[in-house]
Amino acid sequence: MGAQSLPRPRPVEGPRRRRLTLIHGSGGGGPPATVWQPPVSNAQLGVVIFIAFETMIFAGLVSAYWVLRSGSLAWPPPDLPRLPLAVTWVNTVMLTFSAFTMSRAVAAARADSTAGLRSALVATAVLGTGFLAVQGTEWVRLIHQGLTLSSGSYGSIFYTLIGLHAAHVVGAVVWLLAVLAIARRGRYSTADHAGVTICATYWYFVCALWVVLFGIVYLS
Amino acid sequence: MERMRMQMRWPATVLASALLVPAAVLACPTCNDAISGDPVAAAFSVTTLALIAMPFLLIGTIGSWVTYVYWRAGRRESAANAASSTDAAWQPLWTGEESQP
Repeated sequence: MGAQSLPRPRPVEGPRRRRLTLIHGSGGGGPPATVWQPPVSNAQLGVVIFIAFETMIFAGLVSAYWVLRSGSLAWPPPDLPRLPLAVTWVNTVMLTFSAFTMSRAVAAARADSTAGLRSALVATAVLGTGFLAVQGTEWVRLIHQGLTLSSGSYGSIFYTLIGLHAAHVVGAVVWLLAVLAIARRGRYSTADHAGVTICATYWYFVCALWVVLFGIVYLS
Repeated sequence: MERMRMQMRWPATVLASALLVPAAVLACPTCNDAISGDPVAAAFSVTTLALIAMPFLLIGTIGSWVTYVYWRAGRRESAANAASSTDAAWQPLWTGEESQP
């Protein structure tokens, strides 16, 4: 009675059990191994969590910017040069367009179009590098006009906030070039293009972050 | 059940106080007292509250996204299973091979 009353093990249901992929060629002539592929890969989740950390860093810096701005009588101080709006608008459009080209790269990777993937990645890298070049030129001009890191709270928070974002763009461009080098070898396909997707996620974050910073630092 | 009710008494009392007497809850210097006319204190207050809320917002967003992706994958898998079972229903039940010697 006791043995008969034990509950039968129920088959596991849900996407964890159903989403199976067969991987052949393990050798030995045995049955093919069965591997479960989660809908969200570990790398993708890791990048998203990393982006969350980055968001907290920038939220802290924007908070500092807000407090410093609230504590000053005139913002920006009248003796310091004004930030270049027209060039920065062009730069913003350029970086926003790079997000579009990055989305084309992801679409090309999904469609298994190696040539399209390469050209879209090159376009994105060129736009990102152009953004950095324009911003560097403007920084040199601002420094010559007297806005330096030590010129009060305005200069320090401006260079810290925008400089940290520029460092992120540099990192994203380096990552993009690494993905481009892998794409040139034809490693990405419709079934396996996680490297492109993850890099695109980070690139979108960098672009969206710039739009927010541009609105806060330059336009407000 | 009665024990759980007793355990919930204190949290419920605190929550009711927060809802019914909000001035008492916003009594700390960064939340209420400092906002009276000082823009720096107001900025501190707003940014403090924003930074408190930010981790919950981020964790909620990531959790919602992961939940949605899993739900969508499960729905697609169910649709694929339903389609395959429909196809299997059209397979002939008897092919005639069993009667051959």
